[in-house]
Amino acid sequence: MSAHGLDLFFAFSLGFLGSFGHCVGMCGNLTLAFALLDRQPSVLSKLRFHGLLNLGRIASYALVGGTLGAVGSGWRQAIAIVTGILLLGLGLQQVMPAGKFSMPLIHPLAQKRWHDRLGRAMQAVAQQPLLLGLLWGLIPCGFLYTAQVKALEAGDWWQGAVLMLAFGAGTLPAMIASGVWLSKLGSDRRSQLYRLGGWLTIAMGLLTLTRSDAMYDISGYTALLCLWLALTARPLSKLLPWLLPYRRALGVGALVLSVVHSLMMLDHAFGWDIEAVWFLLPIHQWGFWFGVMAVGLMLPAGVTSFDWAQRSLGRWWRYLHLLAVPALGCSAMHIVLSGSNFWGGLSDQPLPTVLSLALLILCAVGLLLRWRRVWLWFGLEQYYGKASLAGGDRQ
Amino acid sequence: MEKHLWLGAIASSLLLSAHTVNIDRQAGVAGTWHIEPNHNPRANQPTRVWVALTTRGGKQIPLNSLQCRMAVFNLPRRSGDVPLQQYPVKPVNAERWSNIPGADVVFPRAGRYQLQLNCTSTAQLSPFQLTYDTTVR
Repeated sequence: MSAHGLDLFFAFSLGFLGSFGHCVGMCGNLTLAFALLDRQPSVLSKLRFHGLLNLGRIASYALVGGTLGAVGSGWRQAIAIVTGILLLGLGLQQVMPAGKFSMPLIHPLAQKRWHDRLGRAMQAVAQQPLLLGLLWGLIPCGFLYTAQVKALEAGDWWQGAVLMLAFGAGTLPAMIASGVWLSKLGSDRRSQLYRLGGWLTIAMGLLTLTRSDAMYDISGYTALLCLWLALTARPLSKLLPWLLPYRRALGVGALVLSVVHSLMMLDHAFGWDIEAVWFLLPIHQWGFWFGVMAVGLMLPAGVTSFDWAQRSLGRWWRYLHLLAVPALGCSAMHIVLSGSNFWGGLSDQPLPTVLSLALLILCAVGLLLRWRRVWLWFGLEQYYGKASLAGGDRQ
Repeated sequence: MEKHLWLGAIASSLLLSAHTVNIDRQAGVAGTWHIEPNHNPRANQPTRVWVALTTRGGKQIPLNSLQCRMAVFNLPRRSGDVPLQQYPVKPVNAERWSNIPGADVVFPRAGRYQLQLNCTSTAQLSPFQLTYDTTVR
């Protein structure tokens, strides 16, 4: 193999190995948002959509490839903002069809015309996966930046571009697979992902607006939020009835995001060197094991989150799913002991203590909400959503 | 079918990958590298680098039992290359860690670098070398 061939292989494997942790973890939200745009039912059309989407993405990698300076971080930030606004618009449009949305001071007919025009324009862009992919490839990304700087070391523009194509090709399997899978989930009209579609697109749009070059990990915190909501959906079902139908998606989402988070941390912080866990400071070792326990406790519930399992497991199904309660406790301890903004950061500033206590209190509140007596004490018993045999999340 | 696809994906991502990690390990010593701020160094700005050293079981190694040097290399490294810069290692108090090896580094331009910490010990530890790759903007 020529030296050049070997470089291509390394670029490809960097993309391939990193894509499962970094790409799925950091751009999983964007993949989901794009996947929700694709409502066509057949797997072939989904492959085409995500194929073109990702081709656009790696095309922009190659174009930028050897000319790092040309697309500076200011431009990338701007493109992230444009993409975020686009996703926001598409999500809003789905959530608020014309007629429900009115702005003051603008004549209703003119409003409708603008609404339709903007809607059509956004849909037109949404139908162009190649264009979306080009935008996507230009969004700030710490992992990508590392690969592009490595490509720069190749010397000339052409070599750099080819190296970036190899890197991009390495990321294709994970990204296309996750995109098609999410698309399938999202187009299943019976699935909760389909019904949540617009709201999720809005949320992803907001997240995209805040992208920067730093490598960060929101999957862990989002997992906690999903778990908390899944556990409080039922007791809050009289006050927030729209939450309960999504309980299943929230629970499964919490598990999936926890797994993604774990893979990202294993990759980024440990480099897959599991032995290194034994060298962590004791507080971090505790945090690590609490995290492992949290995922383990969520696993039985997550893999039995479908109707067939609910029917065949009988009352054991409920016990398995109640494991989510200790899972929340373990997750809270994991964050507080491992998180760099919390006690795990070992700063003697007051802020980490405040954040840690706040998180523990929030999680305790979430669990206490499930207990009818607590509502009684506050005289709010009529608002308590008690469990019913019918279940709230049948699809 | 999808289940197998995902299992395969997760299994293959368990292969060792050769890019930046925070923790490096050699000869019974692990070092957790930190670059402030937020592992996102900028060129031509003094950047604080510190390495929290622990042995198995998470016991911290104090700096006063070590003699350390920190060097900066360009990436990719070639055999026999000389360090771009060398820095004296001084005790740093970072977060709630105290007395840990650190240095104030100034990277000359954007690109990829490797930080290398070499230490010899006056206690019963063998000499060790830990590295950390970083991308500077």
